[in-house]
Amino acid sequence: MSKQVYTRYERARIVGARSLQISMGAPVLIDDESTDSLYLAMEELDRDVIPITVKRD
Amino acid sequence: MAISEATIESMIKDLELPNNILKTLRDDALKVGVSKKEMEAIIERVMESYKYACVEPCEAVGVVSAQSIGEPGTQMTMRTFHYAGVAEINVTLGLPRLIEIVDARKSPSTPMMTVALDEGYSTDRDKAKNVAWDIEATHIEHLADVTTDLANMQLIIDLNGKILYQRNMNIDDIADKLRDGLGVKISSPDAVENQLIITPDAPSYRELLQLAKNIHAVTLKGIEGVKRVVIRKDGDEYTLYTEGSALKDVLLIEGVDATRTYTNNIVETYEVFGIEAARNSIIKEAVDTLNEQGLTVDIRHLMLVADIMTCDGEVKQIGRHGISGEKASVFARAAFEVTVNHLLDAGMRGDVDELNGVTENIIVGQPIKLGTGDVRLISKRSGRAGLT
Amino acid sequence: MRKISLLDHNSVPKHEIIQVDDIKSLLEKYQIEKGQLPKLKESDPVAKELEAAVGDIVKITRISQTADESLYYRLVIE
Repeated sequence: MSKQVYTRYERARIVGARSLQISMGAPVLIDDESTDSLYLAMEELDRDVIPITVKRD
Repeated sequence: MAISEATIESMIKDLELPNNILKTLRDDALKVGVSKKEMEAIIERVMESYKYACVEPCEAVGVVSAQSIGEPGTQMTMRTFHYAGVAEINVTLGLPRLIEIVDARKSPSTPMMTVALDEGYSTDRDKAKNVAWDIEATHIEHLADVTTDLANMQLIIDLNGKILYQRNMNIDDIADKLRDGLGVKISSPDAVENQLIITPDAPSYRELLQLAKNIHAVTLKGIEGVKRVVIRKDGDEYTLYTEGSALKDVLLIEGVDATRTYTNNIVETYEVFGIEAARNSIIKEAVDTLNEQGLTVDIRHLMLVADIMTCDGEVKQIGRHGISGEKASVFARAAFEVTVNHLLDAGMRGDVDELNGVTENIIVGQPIKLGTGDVRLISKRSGRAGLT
Repeated sequence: MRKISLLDHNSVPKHEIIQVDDIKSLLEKYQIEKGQLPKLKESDPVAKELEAAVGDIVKITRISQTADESLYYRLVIE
């Protein structure tokens, strides 16, 4: 399956949740110097490495 | 190097775009002349823009529509309660008309038809006039003087020969129509031309006066309910505008072009032409009403309203007896109107509210299921390298 | 009396009953159940003209001001 397409609302929630994890000290999954949790989360989403997805029904 | 039309065609034919965007894309690409690489870039950008413009799941389209129609609506309140005429016929406009449309009234306060004519009738003024006389309801006062002859206990009708000729009617037709309509004896004296004498069954004053009143209600020619017909020339074609609406009857008249005849009565359109025509009618009437006021509301909002009103196969009003009244949730209905009754009834029945809608969740103080509120996150098992 | 085809009217878009085989792919495409489709009454003048029976799905090709042509489906109900 190819990269999942998220709606803008799903992206917002995923980035938000991931950003919170990072800011609380979770290991960052990409190589980046930045300390901005929001930037890191968005970068991770772009590279499709965030361990979070959505449940649709 | 510019590419040929066939290449462009094959490049864009599988794109998931509406026809009109495809057409613009094709025409513009041809006009300017683009290379294959440029065309690919253009297509990519167009697809991106199109996707961006699309409504995404979870978006609150209903609220946006409501606001987009409601805001101009407030300006209407202040400005109108007037009537403006199309071809000397008064039509309700402005806010009252808009309310009429969303309320799906059985009959609008000013029903009106636009009757297109068949080829052969539409360019000939006399023929158009004849069709108009076939449609307009003719009553006795249009044709004759009615005198109550108390001495001989009878009604004397003096018909105007010229008008009869104009309207293509004759005295026997009128006598028949009156006989059927009133159920009385009618005679025409030989001595006077164009005269009818009506004698009531029982020779009483009451009966006679009643008769003099009732005679005005009999439709002698045309369609009952159509008060007036105006002929107007649109371009090089005569079109009839009617005050009053009776679509079903009009369509059967010789010379009427059934495919282009239109009424502003939405419920009538539904009954004659079905739900899809009613939807089109709702959109057209709403757009016309707003445009007449100089207000522009994006047609998509009105299309959404029309879709919601017609999605159950019948025209439903937006309001207590329609969309809002049929909501499954007790809280949602209670929030709209007559709160206590709804809560009381639900309590007596022992209803359960699943809290699925927006209103219910706001009432109980939970995040609503719209936008980011409608997303449920779960953790993905395989951390790296995307979904399995 | 004149016989008028409702489908000829300007404001009535093209209606057609879709084949039973196509129903499954349609529902799959939109990931919905039959009952979730918008409805068309069996007593609707156009449904009568098409002689649509309850349970049929009618495909409507609307002339849209925004998209030129758009497809809409209605489930025929009582």
